[in-house]
Amino acid sequence: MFTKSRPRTFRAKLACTATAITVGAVALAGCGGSSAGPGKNVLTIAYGSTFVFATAALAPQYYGNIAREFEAAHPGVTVKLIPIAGSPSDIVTKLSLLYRSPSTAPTIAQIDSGDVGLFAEAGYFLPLNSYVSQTSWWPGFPQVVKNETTFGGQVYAVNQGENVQALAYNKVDFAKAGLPVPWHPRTWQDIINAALTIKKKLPGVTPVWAEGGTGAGTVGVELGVGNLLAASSNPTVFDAKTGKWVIDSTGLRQTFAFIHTLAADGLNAPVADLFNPNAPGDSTTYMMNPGAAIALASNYWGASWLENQAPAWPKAAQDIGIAPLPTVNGQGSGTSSLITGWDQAIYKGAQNPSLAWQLLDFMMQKKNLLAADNDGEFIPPDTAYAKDPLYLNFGAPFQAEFAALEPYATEWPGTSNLPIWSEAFQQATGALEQNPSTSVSAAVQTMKTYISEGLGPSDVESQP
Amino acid sequence: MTSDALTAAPPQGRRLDKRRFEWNTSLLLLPAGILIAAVFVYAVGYSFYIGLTNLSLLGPTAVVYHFTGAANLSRLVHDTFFLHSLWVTFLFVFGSGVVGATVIGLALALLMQKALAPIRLAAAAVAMIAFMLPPVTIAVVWYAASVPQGTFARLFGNPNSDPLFSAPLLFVSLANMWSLVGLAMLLFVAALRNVPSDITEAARLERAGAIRRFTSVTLPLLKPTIVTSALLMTLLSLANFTIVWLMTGGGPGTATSILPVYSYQQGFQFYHLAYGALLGNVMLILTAIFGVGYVKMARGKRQKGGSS
Repeated sequence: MFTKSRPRTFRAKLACTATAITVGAVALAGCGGSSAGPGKNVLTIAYGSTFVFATAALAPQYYGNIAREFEAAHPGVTVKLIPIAGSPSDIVTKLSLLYRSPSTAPTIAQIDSGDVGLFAEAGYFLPLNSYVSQTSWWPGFPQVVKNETTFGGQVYAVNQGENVQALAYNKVDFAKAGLPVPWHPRTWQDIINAALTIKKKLPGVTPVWAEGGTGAGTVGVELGVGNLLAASSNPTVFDAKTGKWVIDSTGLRQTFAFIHTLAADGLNAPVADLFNPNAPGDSTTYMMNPGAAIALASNYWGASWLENQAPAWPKAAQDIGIAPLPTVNGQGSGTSSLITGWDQAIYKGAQNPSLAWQLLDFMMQKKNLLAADNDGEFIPPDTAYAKDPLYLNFGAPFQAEFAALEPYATEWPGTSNLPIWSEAFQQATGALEQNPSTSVSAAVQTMKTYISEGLGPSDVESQP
Repeated sequence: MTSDALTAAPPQGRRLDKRRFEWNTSLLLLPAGILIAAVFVYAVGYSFYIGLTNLSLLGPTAVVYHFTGAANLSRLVHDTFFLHSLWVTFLFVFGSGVVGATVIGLALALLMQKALAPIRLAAAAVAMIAFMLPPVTIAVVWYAASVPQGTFARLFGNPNSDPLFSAPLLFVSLANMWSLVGLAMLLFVAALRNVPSDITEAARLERAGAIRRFTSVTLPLLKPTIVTSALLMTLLSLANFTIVWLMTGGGPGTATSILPVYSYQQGFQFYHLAYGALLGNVMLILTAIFGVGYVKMARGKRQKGGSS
C-alpha cells in the first residue's frame, strides 16, 4: 500500500537499473563461450586420470613429464593438460561434451579403442594416414592393433597400449585339490571340471571369477565375459556384410550355457562383487583376498600385484599361473582373447596439426611409450617393444605370457550401437549369473527384445 | 469461529483480492522475467526441440543432425522398457517418497511431540543430518549396508546373503526414504505446533480417545502440510538419480531403471541424446502434472476448510 506514496520516478529508475544489470549479466554470460580456440602454439591433452593408469598418481605424473619435456624441446609452445577422472564411460561422456565446442575440444585425447569409430563418425578426429606412414614405429604394429583405429581405410588414432585376457589360476589351490600344475585346459568343459573339483575339495575357496552384469559398461564386458563369446564357435557380434547385429547364434548360446553352468553349480563369485561398477579395477585383488582359484584375468593383473598395488602381492609370482583361454571345443588355434586398449587421437579442428602430431609422435617414442605401458599396465602395441626388458621385467613373469596372446586376439566392432548390443549382452549374462534358474533361451530372448527395441527389428539377425 | 466468518465475508466496493496487476510493475518484474526466459523457457524449449531430432552424443549425427518429426515419439510409445521404467518410477516415487517419507515423517513428528526437549532436539538433528548428507554419501552408506557381509545381511542372520540384489527396488527406495524422512518430519513438527491446543482439549472433554483425536482433529488440520510434503517428496524422489545410479546403476537388469536412469542411459551410454532428452521432457511434464495436481488439491482443501 505505501508504495503508492513513493514517487513513480524512483520505481522507474530502480526497474531500469535492475533491467540493465540483468541484461548485462545475461549478455556477458552469453559471450563466455565464444572464443575460437586455445591458439596456435597451445596444445591440450585430455586423458583418463584415475581409471586408465594403475594408480591415480601415475597419469598426472606421466603426462606432466611429457608436457615439460615437449615444452623444453619446443620453445614458445605450451602443453595444457585436461585430466578426466572416473570410469571409461565417464571419460567418453566428458570427451564427447568437450568436442561439442571448438573452444574446449582437446588437441590430443586419450580414448578407449571401442569408441574411436564413434568419434571419427562424428567428424572429431583428424585422419592420420599421411603422418603414420612416415614413422618407424607404425609398421611394427600387428594388423589387429591397426584395425582397431582404422575405419574406411582412414587411421583415426594410434594405440598406446593393449589389454588381452587369459585364465589365471592359483597353483597352491590346484595342488591341494589334486589338479595338474601347470594347467592346460583344452576346452571350456576342462574349466568347469577343474572348478567343480575345487568346489568339492576346497569348500572355502571361490572356484571362479568371471565378471559380468551391467555395472562396468562395455569395457567391463570386453575385459570379462565378452572373451567367452570370442572363444565360442561363432564369435560374430556385428555382421559387416548385412550391417546387422547378431541377437542369436551358436556362439551366444555356448557362452550363455557356460555362464549358466557356473551359476547353477555355484562356481562363480557373488554377484555383488561381479556386478560392482569398479569390478574391472577391483578384480585384481580378488585372487589374493578373499581368493578365487580360477579367474578370467587381464594382463594388467600381474603388474598390479607385483608393482603398483598396495598392498602388493609378491607371492603371486610363484603362486599364480596363466593359461590361455581355450576355445569352446578346442577348435581353431585353440586359444582366444578379445583385445581392447587406449589410443591417442588428434582433433580435426586442431589449429596446428603438424605440431599436434609432433607431440603425439613424441609420446610414441620407445621410452615414453614403455613408460605409459608400464604405468597403465598395458601390452605395448609394437611387438618389438613387447620383447624389451623395460617391459618384460615390469611384473615378470606375467608380462611375457600375456604378450604372447596378442596375435590370437580379436577386436569388437567399434561402430555406433555397440553400446546397445553390449548392454543387452550384459543384461543377459548378468541375469544368468544372478539367477541360476534363468535359462539359456531366456537369455537369448533378452538379447532379442532389448536390441530389437533399441535398434529396430530390421537391424538385427539370427545366425547359425 | 467468528473471526473466520468475518475474514471470509466479501469486502464491499473494490475487490482487493482480484485484478491486482498494475502495468508499471512489469518493469520491476522484467529482470526476473528475463532470467526465467533465459535459463528456463529457452532451455526447456530447446530440450523439447532436441527431443524431436536425431541428435546423438557420438557417431554420424553428433554434429550434423536434423528434425525428425514424430519419429522419437512413435518410438517412445512402442518402447516397452519406457513403460517398464514408468512403472518402476511410480513404485519408487510413490512408495519411498509420497507414502514412505511422509508417513514415517508424520509418525516421527507425533512421537517427538511427547519427547523431552533435549531428546527432541537430538532426534531432529539426526534426521536432518540424513537429509543434508550429499546423495553420494547416502548411496555409499546404503550400498555398504545392503551388500553381502553388510549390516542388513548380518541382521537377517545370513552374512552371505545379498539383500541389495535380492530386492533392489526395495533397498534403493529405503535409501531414498531415509534421506527424505528428516525433511518431512520437520514439516510436520512445525505443523503440529500450529494445531490449536484448545481444539484438542475440547475433543478430550468430549471424551474422544487418542486415535479419534488424531483422525478427527489433528489429521484434518494437517492436510495442507501432508499435501505439501507429498509434493516435495515426489519432486525430490523423481529427481533422485544419484542414489539409484550409484547403488545399482539401474540394475540388475532393468529392476531399478527409474526414468532419470533410463534417460541418462539412452543419452550418455547409448549416445541417443535426442531420445534421452525426450525422456527428460516426459519427466518434466510428469513433474508439472504432479505439481499442478497437488497445488489444486491443497487449494481445494483450504477453501473447503474456510467455508465450513
